[in-house]
Amino acid sequence: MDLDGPRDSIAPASGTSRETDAALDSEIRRAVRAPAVDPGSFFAHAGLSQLGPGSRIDDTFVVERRLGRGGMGVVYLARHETLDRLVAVKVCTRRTSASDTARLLREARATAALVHPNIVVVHHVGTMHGQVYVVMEYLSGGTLGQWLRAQAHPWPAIVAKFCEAAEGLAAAHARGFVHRDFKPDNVLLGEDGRARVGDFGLVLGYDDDDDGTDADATLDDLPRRATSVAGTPRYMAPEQHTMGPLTPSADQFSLCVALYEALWGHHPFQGDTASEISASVRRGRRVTGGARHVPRRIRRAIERGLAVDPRQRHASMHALVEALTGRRRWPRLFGLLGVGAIAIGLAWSGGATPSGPSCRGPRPETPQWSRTDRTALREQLSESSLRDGRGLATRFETSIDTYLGRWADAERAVCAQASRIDDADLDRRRACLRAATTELHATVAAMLDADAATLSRGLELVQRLPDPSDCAALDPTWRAGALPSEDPRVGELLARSRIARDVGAYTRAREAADTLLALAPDGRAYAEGLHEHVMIAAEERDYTGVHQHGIPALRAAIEASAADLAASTSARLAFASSAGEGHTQRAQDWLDMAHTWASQAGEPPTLMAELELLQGIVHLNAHDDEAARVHLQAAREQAQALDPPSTTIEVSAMLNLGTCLTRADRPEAGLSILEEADHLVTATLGDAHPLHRTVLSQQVAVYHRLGKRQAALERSRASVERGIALYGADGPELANDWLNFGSLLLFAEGDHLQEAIDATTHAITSAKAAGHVKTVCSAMTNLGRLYILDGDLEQALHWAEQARAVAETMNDQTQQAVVELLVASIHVERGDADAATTTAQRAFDLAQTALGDNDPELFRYYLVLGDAAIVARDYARALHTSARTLALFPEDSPNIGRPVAQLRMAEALAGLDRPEEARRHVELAEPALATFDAVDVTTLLRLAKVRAALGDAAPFQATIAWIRADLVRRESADVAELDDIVLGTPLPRPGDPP
Amino acid sequence: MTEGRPRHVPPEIDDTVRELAAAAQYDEATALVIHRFGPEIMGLLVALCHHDSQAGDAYSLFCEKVWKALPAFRFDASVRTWAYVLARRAMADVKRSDARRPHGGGASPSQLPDLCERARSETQSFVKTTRKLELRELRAELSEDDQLLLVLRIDRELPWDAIARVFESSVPGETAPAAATLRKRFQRAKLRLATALRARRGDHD
Repeated sequence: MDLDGPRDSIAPASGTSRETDAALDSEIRRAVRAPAVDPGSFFAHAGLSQLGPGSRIDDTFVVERRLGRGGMGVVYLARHETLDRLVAVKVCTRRTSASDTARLLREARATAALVHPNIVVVHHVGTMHGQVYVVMEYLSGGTLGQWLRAQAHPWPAIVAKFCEAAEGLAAAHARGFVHRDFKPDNVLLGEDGRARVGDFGLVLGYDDDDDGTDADATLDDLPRRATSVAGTPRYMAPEQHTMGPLTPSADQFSLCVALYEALWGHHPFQGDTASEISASVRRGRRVTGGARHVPRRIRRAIERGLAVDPRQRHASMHALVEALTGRRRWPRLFGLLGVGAIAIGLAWSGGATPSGPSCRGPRPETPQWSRTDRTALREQLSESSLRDGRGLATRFETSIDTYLGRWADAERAVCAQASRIDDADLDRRRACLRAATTELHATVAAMLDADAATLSRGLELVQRLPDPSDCAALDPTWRAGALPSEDPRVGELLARSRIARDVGAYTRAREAADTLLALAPDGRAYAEGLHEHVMIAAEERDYTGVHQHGIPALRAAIEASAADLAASTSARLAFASSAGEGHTQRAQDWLDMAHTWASQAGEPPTLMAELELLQGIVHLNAHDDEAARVHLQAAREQAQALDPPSTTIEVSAMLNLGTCLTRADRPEAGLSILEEADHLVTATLGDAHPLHRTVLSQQVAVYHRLGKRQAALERSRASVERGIALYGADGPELANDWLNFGSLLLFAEGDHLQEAIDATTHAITSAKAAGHVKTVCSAMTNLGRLYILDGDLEQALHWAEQARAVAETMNDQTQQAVVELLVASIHVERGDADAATTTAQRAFDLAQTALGDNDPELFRYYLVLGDAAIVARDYARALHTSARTLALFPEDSPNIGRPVAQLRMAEALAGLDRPEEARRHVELAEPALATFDAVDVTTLLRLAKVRAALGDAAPFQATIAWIRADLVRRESADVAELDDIVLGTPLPRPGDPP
Repeated sequence: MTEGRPRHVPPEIDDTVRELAAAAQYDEATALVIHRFGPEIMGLLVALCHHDSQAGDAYSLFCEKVWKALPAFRFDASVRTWAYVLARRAMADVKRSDARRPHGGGASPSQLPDLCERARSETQSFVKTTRKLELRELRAELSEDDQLLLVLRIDRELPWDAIARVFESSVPGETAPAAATLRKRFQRAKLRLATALRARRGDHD
């Protein structure tokens, strides 16, 4: 064998089989393959200076288009391919200029060090072919300059935008930076309209020992003093023109120039050219006069910011904002600034190393619970709508103080152990203490920014904090939060999102998750941020949201090797597939994947309990109730056994068990478990928690099933009201509640038709938002029925056709049959015999295929077939169908179907001119109908018509009296139609010949 | 000339280049060489350089070398072999110059892409690395010259005397002893790669 022959076997002989050699041969060939590469396309893709759509940067970002060109380079819109996220990539294209590269790097580092809602987020900095590029968040709203130029804005809107930018600058100042180039074109607006300060290319370091700021040690290389005149002359402060010492007040001056210009439409200093303006700025030569539409307070605030002497300006950017808005910031800074500022606020207060005996290694910093926080929280609670806010504040403070005491004791215990345990053990125990600190800080931050519902649960939140004394006796398998990020803000934000989610404050949870995402460009922290979004969507039953966030979250979790997050995300995708789409197989596939990830993650108990719960739900949605019950019961037990027990998992398991029991014809038992769940939720999570609303909606279903309509309606209304408060009227979470509410209203006392139509219309909007196709279809069908009752057959047909289009996409014959039934009923009402016959037959065929021959539900389909025959005056066929309908119900059946079928028999017999037989059926049907609470109006009117057709005066009058009383009780407008029947009936008078 | 002509290289290129060079039409001759062999040289550089930017730089240098060296080329080897000689030199020059370049200091932001790259490669192994990347990793465990030797012999199907020229371990007409040495070296390199492949396969199995 020629071992080295290019096309012969190349694998060295090894005594193995010929097949193995051949396989190895092929592997070696593949290993040394160097396929040809077209140099033209290689350079086109690799060169950063000529990027076009599809070009790749660092094999990670794919360019979509060029956004613009600046003095230093080009900005592209690109997509982070793996994370599927749009970003802006700023490329320094002048590769020969070292100063440009340095400037871009400086900008990137300065910006990356600042995390604030009003500062552009830098995700990543890289070099490629010697060229630096900076990856930043993509903001689609253009610059503040463009916003100002686009149209005239009212002064409050302009001031608000500049105040946002001022908050961003204030954050930069707090970190020891002076921007030096503030102008409207360096402020970017997001889709949400929020202003973010960008372009920190001229940033200077700033030292002021007296101000308590916390300049970042990693940015020591920032220049501290300007070595040349730099900036945009139009907006530069006098000290910038003269190269004097720069302080944050230079930015204040620039901002005031820009704000003045935006409000008054001209520059505040005299001059047309840059040099004229520069001279005027240095000498303070102001333009006089100006528009009077701006309040004097604003004018005074700006005037002060424009002082030539920096010492005459506002003390800080915060002071300027206060002067502009007329609001005092402290002590409620947290509430005003939002999440990012809280993180910075906590960083300011800094932690002190614990006192006491010295011990090996760096000791964790003591958790902070500052006087400012105390005061702010006390005010927060006192001002809240809570009954005993002040008392609660005292109890909360005491519990935090107790917690801090326990933390200090635990830390001292760990310190005392330091000489006896190895480094790894010591590190683990200290990481445990730090994790407890993070949780505590997040709890305090959540309370400082909380609504009444969260505040009321403050004590409970403290009680649920991890016990620091556990850290002194740690299990060797304990791992600190699995968050490798060194940035303490990451842990803080994550805890914050979890706590907000925990109290059902999903908007705040989402904000925290967003800030976390902005802070963490990739890795575990980024995966955590996306995972939070998945969890929020799942808890809000926003199935579309789960799918939307789920795939990127899963991808990020896999990228970050976070098997636990991958498992949890897969589990939520299973839930959305099962509950949202009704796709059992897909749900099971996701669940299997979740189990695989969970086993890689070491089967964390909480996750396993969740998976058990979800397995139960998937079985339940697939109508495998027996299997569902086993898994749900197991989930409930596992949730109780968790430390601390998980109310959310337990209540979810109970809710689904309730459904199981109800479906198994044990509604009383179902109701009992739901009441137990209700108590559990109210006691542990509070009645403002979204889970309480879920319990309410479930109770609605069971009460309805038990025929307790009033109780069902009361809970339905409560559930809808809570839902509106939580999510707004058309929130995706409310779809089923609106649908049920609409249905229940029909049977309520009084005329609620319009209210039912409104509720059902909301159901459609909500279900569409949730992507819940089945609910959309059911709601459209219900709306069609409601419009029949309303007499608006055009609207009824419109909605029926909409429902039909949706049903066709569902591959669900039962649903299709229901919709066809509606269409047939409308054609019956319209008197269109042909269309009615065809659609009624189609509806019947679909129902028969879906339900079989003997399902009592078929009676509705027989009825409409009969109605179609009556419309076509084919009374023989109508009689035949009615007889088949009647056969579905035994004589003693309590189902309303039997008297309704008898009424149809009577109608057919009357049509066939067989009055005696007809009369016999009416006389059986009428008293039976009278035993039902609320017979639908159409049936009542048909009864009246049959009585009229049979021409017996006395029974006719009696029937009419009964029906009228019923309609009046219901405040039904159909009394008028009844009157028409009465008026149009030539009844025999006493003495008339028979 | 003892080297054979691989089936995919049309024979007329050498004659045309020689004619152009004889007519001192070096620009046209350079363009023809680069046009004909550019993609396979680029492919080699992309495969054997540490990163794309290095491959790009090496290719630029290769083009420059073709243009500069063409007037002195005596056509004592095929143009293709000569192109590989220049490509190997260009690659060596670029790698040497990269090695001399300082690698930043302290917490430079330029470390971020490396960190990201590391995270990505860890991820790839986490989600079951593609076979192709594994093979590439295995090959990268060999010395650069051994890799080049394997690529030239197995993938580019260059005859031994041409490879000897590329490695510049021979003078024209005296390639036989150098080729014999390279064959032995080739066998050793191949054995190492095969052993690594077997070991990896054993791991997977």
